[in-house]
Amino acid sequence: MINITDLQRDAITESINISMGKAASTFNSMIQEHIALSVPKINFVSSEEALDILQLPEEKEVCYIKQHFSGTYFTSEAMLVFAQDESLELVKLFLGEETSVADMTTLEHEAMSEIGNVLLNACIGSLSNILKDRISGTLPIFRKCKAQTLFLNERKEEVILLIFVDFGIESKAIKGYIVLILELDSFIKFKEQLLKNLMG
Amino acid sequence: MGTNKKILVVDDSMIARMFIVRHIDELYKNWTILEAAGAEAALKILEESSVDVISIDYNMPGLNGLELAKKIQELYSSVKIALLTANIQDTIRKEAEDIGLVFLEKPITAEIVKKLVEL
Repeated sequence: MINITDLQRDAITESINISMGKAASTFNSMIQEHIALSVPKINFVSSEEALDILQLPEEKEVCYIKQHFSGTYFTSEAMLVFAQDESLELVKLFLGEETSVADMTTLEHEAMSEIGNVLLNACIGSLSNILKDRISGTLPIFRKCKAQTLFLNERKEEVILLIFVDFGIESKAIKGYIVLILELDSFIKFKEQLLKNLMG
Repeated sequence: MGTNKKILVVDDSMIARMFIVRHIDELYKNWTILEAAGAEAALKILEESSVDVISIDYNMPGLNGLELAKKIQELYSSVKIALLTANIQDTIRKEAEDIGLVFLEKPITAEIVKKLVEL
């Protein structure tokens, strides 16, 4: 387990706050709705514990957009997660109220991928600027699954750093999560570079 | 800007292309809009048709947006190019601006597309 001081935790929380804030502001521009953002939560957990931390019931049907990001000081899986039954409502907000249900269903995959791409890149791009490091990202993938399989790809035996915020579109009762998953060796590099840049 | 211009939109996201087309149509109905989902398709279009403005996404399969822009600049030096991307990293922005591209941030809004068509 890695110990971090209160000052280090504060510095990490602040940088994540800035990055998630950028994502929320971007989301606001996309759908013209106020986005309420929680304080970032940072937890060292096993992949099995991650679901409990997010407070997602195992049987909950979710959809997510996922991208892998990699730089000198930062390597992470980034996910944007929504409840499946809120996905079409979100697509409608994004494409416009006049979009038919048939069109929404057809375009759901493309629309959610683009929403994820823009939001996750806003978040990671902002973090990259704080780290002064170029971070490369894979193309977004969009999937639907039960919550219990969300973190199946993470190595079960390892402790991961789970950073997440939950956000809500208040007028529509839509809630989502931006989740960053870092393995511990990546976190050490990330923490050191972040503190170096923030503290001078 | 009311004249009949031709724009090539290069983005692997169909939704992104749809939004750009929608906003250009609102501004200039007489513009011709060509679409490509990646570098290869974009270069093929350019072999057959000259365009005034090109909008290129950064993160695409195959060549990324900067690589494609450099290739286009070698072949068609007079065309105006914007990198329209969700990738807001300063290093990407700087590299784009250093080679003479206009850097535009997603999300795609009417204001962003206005900047694109006014290149």
